[in-house]
Amino acid sequence: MTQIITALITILLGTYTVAGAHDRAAGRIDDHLRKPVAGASVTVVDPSRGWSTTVYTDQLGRFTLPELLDAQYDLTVTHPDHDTLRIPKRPIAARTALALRLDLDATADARADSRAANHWLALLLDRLPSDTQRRELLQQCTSCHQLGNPATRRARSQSAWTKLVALMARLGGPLTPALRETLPAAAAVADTAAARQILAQPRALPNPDPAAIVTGWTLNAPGAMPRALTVHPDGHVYAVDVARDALYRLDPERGTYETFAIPSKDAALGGHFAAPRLRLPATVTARTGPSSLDVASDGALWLTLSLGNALARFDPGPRTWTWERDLPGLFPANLRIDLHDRLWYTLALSNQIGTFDPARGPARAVRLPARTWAQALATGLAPETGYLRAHAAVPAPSIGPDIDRAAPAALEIAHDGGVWFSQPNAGLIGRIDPHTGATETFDTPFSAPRHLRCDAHGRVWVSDAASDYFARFDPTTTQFTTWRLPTEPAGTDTASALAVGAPADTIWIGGANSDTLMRFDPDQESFTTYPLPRETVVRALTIEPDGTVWGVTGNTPTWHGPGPTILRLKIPN
Amino acid sequence: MPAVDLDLYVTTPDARTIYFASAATIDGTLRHDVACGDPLAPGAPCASETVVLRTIAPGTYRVGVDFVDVCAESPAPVAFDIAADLAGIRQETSGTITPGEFRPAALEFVVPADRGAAHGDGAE
Repeated sequence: MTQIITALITILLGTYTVAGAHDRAAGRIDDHLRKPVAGASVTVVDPSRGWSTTVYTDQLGRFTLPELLDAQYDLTVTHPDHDTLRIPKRPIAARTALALRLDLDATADARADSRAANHWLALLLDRLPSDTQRRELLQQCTSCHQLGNPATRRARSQSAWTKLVALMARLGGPLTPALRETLPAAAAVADTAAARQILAQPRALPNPDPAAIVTGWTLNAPGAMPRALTVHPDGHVYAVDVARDALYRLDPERGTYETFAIPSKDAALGGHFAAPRLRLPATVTARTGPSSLDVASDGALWLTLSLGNALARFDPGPRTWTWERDLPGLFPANLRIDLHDRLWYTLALSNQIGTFDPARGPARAVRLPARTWAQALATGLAPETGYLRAHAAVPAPSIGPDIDRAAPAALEIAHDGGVWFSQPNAGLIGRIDPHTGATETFDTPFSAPRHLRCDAHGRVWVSDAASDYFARFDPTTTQFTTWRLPTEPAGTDTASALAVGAPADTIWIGGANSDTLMRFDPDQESFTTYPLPRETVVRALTIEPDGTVWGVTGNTPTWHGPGPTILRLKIPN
Repeated sequence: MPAVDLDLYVTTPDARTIYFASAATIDGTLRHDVACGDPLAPGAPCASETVVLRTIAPGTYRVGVDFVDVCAESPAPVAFDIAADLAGIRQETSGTITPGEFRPAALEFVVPADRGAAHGDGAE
């Protein structure tokens, strides 16, 4: 197949033109019947720079690449109903014409392999006996990794599943006894010939805007788990790596990035929480565990160091670090800085929202409510129970999301200064008055509100960790409006990240299980879906005022997918 | 039968881990996941797990031990030994581990760039 394509390219080089592509490489994707293929992803990668760009074909199968350096690129064309086409070391320069052909006569195996994880997950979910178990599985598993990707859909014996589920519980994803009992049999459908026949059926296709250009900078850092990013006013993009104690700074203009190691002095693996029974993934080398960041008005970056149980300030000028260690709670995670340069951050293990004014100090905290007395008790005893589990030979906790601790997940500051948070295990979102510390909570229409952002009108957007629902909350009416992600089959995806931005409060959502980035237009109530490479999980999103979307991708475990990447999606005017 | 269930973890320089739930990767293979109830090999004084690497890439290797199950024993610390033969060099360590404890880097070492590319080596 590759030889045929190479011959075609050789024949057509210099003779094939695409209207409007005067100085950029362009081409067209046809199938074996010479019919154009719309919605295909065309990706070129320069491995020497860790750089890639992806564009999408229009209804006539046409695509135009952005300006490229004259070089050899690894070229890949993907489409849900076709074999993936790979051409390594393809010389591409301005005005290069690419005539590529996809083969529609893909085998059932090839079609099944081309499906995103959520298609495989659908087979498993169908075999679970209740919505309760389906929701539990989605919430407890897809918060960390995809379900149905090649690593998780392997056929396993009952005993292997039992052992694996026990390991997942120690890593922070406990399942209830009921789901532990039914999961092995349900998962037996995993990667079988029958499953592949089902998945070979034609599916709904993505509808990416063919004008969009996705650019990727892969972080050459084995084991990296980037979890948050921010765009600095000076144009650099910063991301934190929770597994390797690193801060990355990308220069989009030059296409290069720097790595700043976060000093951990002589801290042990696991930092503040180091203990014999602390169960971290085997690849993790973290002592500080940075998990969020934001930029202060003086240009300095503040980071939460979850494992270090501290805040850190990084001054990009002299490249110096200072720490704030005296926190009033445990496990600082999501961080935002308000207009008065006060830091607000979640304290996940002690169910608090912390606040710190660097000019006035010291750090303070607001205790959040719990849904039940059991949650309140569990949270109140969090330091003691955490110590016991980490140090003592007590059995692994057989707790599920229904009785788990209340803990804040997302945090966002609205334009009026109100501090919003979500509590997935309590089914709540809430607002803290920044002046009085008073807390007001609102029950969400789904049980596990996780990612949360505010729009320019003061409305709150929140996604469910246990389903494909997301919602808009209007504080003036206290009403929620809900939608479902467009991913098919329905119910197989959750939001891995959510952002709100220009223009007109556009919503962007990463599909945890579908390898997609989705744009939602609230006015039209319409979605545009951008396919990303297989096994790609977008961990965080942010949007610039001009509408440019930035994201960072990464897998847990890291080897479940491609290397962590900083992504930029632009749609030229 | 093994007295306890200890799991072997080998993490290669590309940050891929070979262990019971990912027993075969592009880097190597876990020969057998020994679990409670499995018979011991004839003549063997205790259970052992072995990872065989296909190629030895330069970089940092981590060998970890996880005490996942006490089987029929009382929950007491047990002794373990690790031996790694990589690129013609043997690395060894010993220790004790308590139930529920995970030592992600019980043994850690670096294969220099000029010692890579050997075949068939492993950690046990």
